[in-house]
Amino acid sequence: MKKYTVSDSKLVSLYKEGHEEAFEQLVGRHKNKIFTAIYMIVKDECIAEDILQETFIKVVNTIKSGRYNEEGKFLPWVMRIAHNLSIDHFRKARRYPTIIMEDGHNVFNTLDFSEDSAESIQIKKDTHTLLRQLIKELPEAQRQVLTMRHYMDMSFKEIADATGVSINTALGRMRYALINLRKKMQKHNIAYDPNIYPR
Amino acid sequence: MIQTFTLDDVVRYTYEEMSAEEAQRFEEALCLDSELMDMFHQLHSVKSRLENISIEKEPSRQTVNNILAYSKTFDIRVAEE
Repeated sequence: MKKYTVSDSKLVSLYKEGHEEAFEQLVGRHKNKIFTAIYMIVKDECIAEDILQETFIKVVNTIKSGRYNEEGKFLPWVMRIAHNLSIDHFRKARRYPTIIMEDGHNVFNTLDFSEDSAESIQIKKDTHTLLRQLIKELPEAQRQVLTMRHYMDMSFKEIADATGVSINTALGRMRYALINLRKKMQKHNIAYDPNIYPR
Repeated sequence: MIQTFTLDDVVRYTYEEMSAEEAQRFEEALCLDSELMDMFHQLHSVKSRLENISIEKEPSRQTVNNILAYSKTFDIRVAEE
């Protein structure tokens, strides 16, 4: 997770005092993460753009009207708004949301291989593609909790609340997701990080 | 007395969702329990691999501009209607 010299909380305070540039910084810091989270639920870029705007309209309305709860953290709060609006979208469309990893290059177009040789770039790409495929093969409930924790930055408590299960169920699903993924990685000979798993 | 930890607690520790005090107690238990230690190694290795995969997408500049423009022209009376 990135560390910033000025905290989100400080930026929110500045924004409340009328400093629009503080809001610009908050949007700049978190727009990609929030947009990605929305996209992974709705799986449509245009709809995700609309929901991102709706999300920030709620953020602006809440903060500028003095209803923002200072005790909460900014990003998890915005993530909850984005998640609820994304789920509402499916309710309106009478569809059940499925968080699925995308195969296409558009979703994963920010991988950074700039320092590597052409061969190692290809190996990394192949490994990442395989890893994403293995994630897709996980049972739905396990894939959902893994995605929410890793790519939406939600705590296990927040995941439990969002998916309507107990925190122990969320933790159990995560554990099985990681164990299953590890087994699949072993089967496909995806190497471990030697710093963590010395031979 | 040494606190008993479960395998699900390993998940919380791996994802840094324990308080500093609980994490310290957990680390003490980890040294004495090979099952917990083995589970931690397994989970941590996969977590590290997942952290290397970026799936981040970026919204369009137009959308960001719309958001910033909304904030600048915000009128509380309109928002409360």
